[in-house]
Amino acid sequence: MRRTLIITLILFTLYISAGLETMIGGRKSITDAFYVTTVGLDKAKDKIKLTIVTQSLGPEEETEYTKKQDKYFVTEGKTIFEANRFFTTFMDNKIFWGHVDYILISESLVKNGLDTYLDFFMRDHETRLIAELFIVKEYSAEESIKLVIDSGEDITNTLHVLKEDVGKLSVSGCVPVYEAFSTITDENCGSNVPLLQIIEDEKEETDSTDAKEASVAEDNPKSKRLVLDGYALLDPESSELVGFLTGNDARGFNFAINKIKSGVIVVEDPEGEDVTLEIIKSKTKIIPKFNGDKLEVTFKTKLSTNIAEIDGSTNLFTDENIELLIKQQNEMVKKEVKNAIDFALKHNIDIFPISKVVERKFPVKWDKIKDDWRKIFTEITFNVEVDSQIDRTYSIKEPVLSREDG
Amino acid sequence: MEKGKGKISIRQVMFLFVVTVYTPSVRFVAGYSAGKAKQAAWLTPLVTLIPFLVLIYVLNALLQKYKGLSFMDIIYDVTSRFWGKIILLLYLVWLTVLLALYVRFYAERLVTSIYPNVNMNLFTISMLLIVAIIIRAGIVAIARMNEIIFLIELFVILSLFLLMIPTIKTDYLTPISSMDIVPVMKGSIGNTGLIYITYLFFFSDRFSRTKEFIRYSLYAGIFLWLVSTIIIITSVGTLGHSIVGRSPLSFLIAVKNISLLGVLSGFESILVASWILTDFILIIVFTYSIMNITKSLLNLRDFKPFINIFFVILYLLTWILGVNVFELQAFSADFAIQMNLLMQVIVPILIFFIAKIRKKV
Amino acid sequence: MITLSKVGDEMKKIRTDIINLNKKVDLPMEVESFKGLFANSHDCVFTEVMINKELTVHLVFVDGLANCTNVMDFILKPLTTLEKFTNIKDEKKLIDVIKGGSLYYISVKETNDVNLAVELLLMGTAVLILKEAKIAFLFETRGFESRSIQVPTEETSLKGSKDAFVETLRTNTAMLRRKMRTPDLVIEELIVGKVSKTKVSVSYIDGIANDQLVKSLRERLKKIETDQVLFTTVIEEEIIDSQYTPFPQVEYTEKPDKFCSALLEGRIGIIIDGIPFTMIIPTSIVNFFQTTDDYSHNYIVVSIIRGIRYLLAAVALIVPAFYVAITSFHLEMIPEGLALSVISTEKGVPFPIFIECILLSIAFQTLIEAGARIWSSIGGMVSLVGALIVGEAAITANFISPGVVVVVAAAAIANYTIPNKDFAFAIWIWEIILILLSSVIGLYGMVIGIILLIHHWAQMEVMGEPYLAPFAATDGRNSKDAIIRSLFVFKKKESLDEQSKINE
Repeated sequence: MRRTLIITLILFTLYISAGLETMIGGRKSITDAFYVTTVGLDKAKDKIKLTIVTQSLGPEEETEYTKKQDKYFVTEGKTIFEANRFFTTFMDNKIFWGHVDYILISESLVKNGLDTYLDFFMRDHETRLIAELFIVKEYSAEESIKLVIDSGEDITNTLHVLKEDVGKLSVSGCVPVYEAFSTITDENCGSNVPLLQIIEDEKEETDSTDAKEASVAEDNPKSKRLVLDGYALLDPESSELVGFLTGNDARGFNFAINKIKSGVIVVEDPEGEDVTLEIIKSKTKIIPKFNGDKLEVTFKTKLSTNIAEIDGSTNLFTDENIELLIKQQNEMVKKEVKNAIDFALKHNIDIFPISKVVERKFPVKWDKIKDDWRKIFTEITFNVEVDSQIDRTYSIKEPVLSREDG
Repeated sequence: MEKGKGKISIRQVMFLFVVTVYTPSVRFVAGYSAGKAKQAAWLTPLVTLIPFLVLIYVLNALLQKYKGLSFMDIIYDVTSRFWGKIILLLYLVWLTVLLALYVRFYAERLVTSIYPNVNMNLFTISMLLIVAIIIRAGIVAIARMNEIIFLIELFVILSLFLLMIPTIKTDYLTPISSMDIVPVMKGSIGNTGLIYITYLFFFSDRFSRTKEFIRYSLYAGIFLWLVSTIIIITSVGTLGHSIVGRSPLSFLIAVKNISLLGVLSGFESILVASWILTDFILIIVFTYSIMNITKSLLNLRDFKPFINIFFVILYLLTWILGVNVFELQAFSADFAIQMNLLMQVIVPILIFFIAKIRKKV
Repeated sequence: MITLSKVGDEMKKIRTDIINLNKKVDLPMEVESFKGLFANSHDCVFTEVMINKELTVHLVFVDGLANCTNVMDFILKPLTTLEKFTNIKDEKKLIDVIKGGSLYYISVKETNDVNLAVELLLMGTAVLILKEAKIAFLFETRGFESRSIQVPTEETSLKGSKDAFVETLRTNTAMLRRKMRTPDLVIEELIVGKVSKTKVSVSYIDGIANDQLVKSLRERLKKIETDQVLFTTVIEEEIIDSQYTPFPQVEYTEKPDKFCSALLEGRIGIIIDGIPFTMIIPTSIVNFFQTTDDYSHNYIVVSIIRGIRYLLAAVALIVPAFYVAITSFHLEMIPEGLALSVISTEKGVPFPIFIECILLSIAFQTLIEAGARIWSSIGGMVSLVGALIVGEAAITANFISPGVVVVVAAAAIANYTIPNKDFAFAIWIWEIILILLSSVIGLYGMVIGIILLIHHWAQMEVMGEPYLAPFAATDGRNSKDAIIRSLFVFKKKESLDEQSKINE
């Protein structure tokens, strides 16, 4: 009984002391929390500009709290942590970092290297390492956030949709913080970060097929859109921004690093009409080979596509026509991969990274050459081999436009 | 059941062993071995099995010879009363320091992971109080609690492992080549330093069904090998050895990455909460060992009056050990591991050999 | 002749002596002694039977306990009408004739001990007092009103037997005998209670039950010093080891089939006369999660359901505390969408979440208590008012946020699925403790609470058997019927093996 009494006494004391907020400062009531879901990092002279946004609820929940959602908050500080603390000077809510989903970093900031800014997100106990990184081209992160919010959308949702659909074209990818950190700390391989671009829709450029967008464009003649397209590539050692791969070059890079989910390849039939192929499956093997001291690397891509659209009237389902399509397709993929390789060679960064493949295949040899890797990399002979096939088409077999001959 | 009153079976001892080893290894093993053995870190627990088997053989020989005696009595008998007391004094000092280290680490772990703004004293004092209360219930109750805590812990770690499987990249775990042999050997020292089975022998007079010792310790060894391999594979496999080697709580960071169906996350709080349970077992088991050594050294009949004083000393010691967590980590990696290796692997083996020479075994 | 009231005064003193010291009274075996003892009790019938002009005997019995028809037909009638008796001149002859079996009654006892006579009188025996010989004949004429065997009210079962224990001990033991026709079924009887003198029966199966256990239980029962055994706790609190716990340590059942299967597991049953609930000991935590229905359904289904029961018990215990912890300390654990909706509903509620949880949890318990205590004629009101207040009004009035209602209601419903209600109440108490702890310091507090709870269970033993068995302390024995109900074939094999091991 005495023991029970003692325990009760201790519990009671503990409980009373719970009222003393000074002793237990860990409590943060959920009602006071400001859930940061998207963060923007910008350069402001020699300081860092920090933009935070929270996710808004659906339109049906119009409460006092949700009305405030559209706002975003901006501070500046010498470091991210300092800037973060400056929020407390004017915000009535406690900022909570545990649900950061997306981190937008402006191009200008990355020019001096990304590693310094990642440290906060790695070290802080609240942030999640699965938050995804984006680099914003030309514009600042704040501008891109403002752009989306001003158009009445929710930035986190927008980014979420962009990320979900990235595989449809496979021109970009997803890089969570921990993955970026892991490649940045590796001195031999360059890092890639998905690129967000802001595209201005010119009024006259809009097609008549895009009726809905056209009407939007009429309202604001220069409507801007946030687009997830391409990669920003960083230097292996300093993690400074080296250049961008966009559009089909970025897809070539995705082919090389085996990150293709789907995509569209447009080829021509014998009469010059467009045939659209949908990428179903793609697998690339990077095969390194030593010829004496010289390294030879082969990208072997296996690709299968489906015919998704036929604009001409030729019957394509003959051996030679299919062969023709495959040939064009091979060439296109080969060209794209080669573009990515050219980019890597031009800037002398191992973006694929081939160093990992070599290390895995020739661990002993790697040990000797790893210090000179950047020099060796420029001397590699690259081969690209594409082996593709067209599997099938969908509901109808022959082109819609084909006339029956007899 | 009536026969074994006040005693714990070897199976329960092994549960205690597993939990006490699991507690520090989840904090320490992945980081240490990834630092030394890089991508081959997951092989280190395999190497550790060898010293473990040797230790098991030695301890079993001693246990079977000296039935119903504690390790203290064994040491007295093998060496002599005088030398035995000196050895035990060493053990006492070292275990107390180690325990203080763990109490401190336990609080630091909470403060660095989920309670950044909370005064560490709250965690230290409340844990020491609870241990001080519960230890009076005796080893039987502790062993029973441990069985339940083991089940909870097993459930937590297995479900986390299942959730983490999709994030594991084999790229981070390969290649393995002959060049990795030396680093793996070095990395395995970390694991070997954590085989806390010798410390459990300070209450070996409470063991029953000792004949099953070899069988159950093999089970425990294999289980621990699996668990530490799982811990290393999940930490290194999700994050890569460069992050794991740098992080003091790499498994926690790996768990931070779990996102179930893109909706549920924040599992690290559950992990940390489950660590409190195992930390509690580690602290209470070490305290019990220390109390038994003290009892034997001072020829006391009961250690209960001594408990309160001990906890005050322990509390002060946790603060003396290191000013900040960096000193603590350095102490742990540079000194504690080697000292542990000496105290719990080499000393028992030496005692075994002395006993062999004196023809006592 | 002494007046009754005077006798009463003297006897009152003696009566007190009997109660206080359980002393034997030293009274001569004559009708006056009885008249004194039962002076003011009108249900005690004293009849003077004139066998013939010379010979008069006294018959004493308690109306309602003794069967009047039996008394008349088999005692009064033969004594006054049979020639054998009417011809007798002196008592000595009468004794011989009665002993010779002329009063044809099954159970006849001869005594000169007033104590014994009084004791049996109060059990329904008719006492025939012979004045000069100062001896009495005791006739077993017991026959009082009792409830017939009915369907169990608290433990319903779908496929199991539908009979339930009643208040009468003998009926209950007969039910046991009917189910288990073996001489190994031992039904011992003791009298407990200085005033009430209640019969308490201890049943076990010889050869299966642990002898040590039976012995120690017998000793504990004998040691009980109490006035009455009208309630089960009188016995329960005397035979358990750990008194300071809300958790039940004795299993109650009103179903003979459950009782018998417990006996077959080597446990011991206690039946108290006058209480239709029987006790089974020793118990461990698993017993409170098993129902008799478990053994009349498919084993796979039952195993899953049983697993869910444990899960739900954990839900009832932990979920409110967990909710408090994650909403006040570990915000990262709530999914974003949920967090935002929690925020929007929580705005405007004046109380912190943990206070809401505790208030609501107590409110649910209030409903249960009200439902149990309210007169059945207005019983419907409880659910109506409860549903109104808890469900709708409290939320619209911003007293409580909907999130808390969902969490606490889920815990409450989960709590009701625990088959043993005593256990469910104890879990509820710990639920509140955990909420309090986690309101202090989040998950840490909750885990500290769990450590204390596990410690509480770990140090509990019922008659020397660990409370946590078979999850702990048994080296994995008997675990086949803990969470998973394995096939009967395997279970039987194991239990016999293990039993022999224990008895070694």
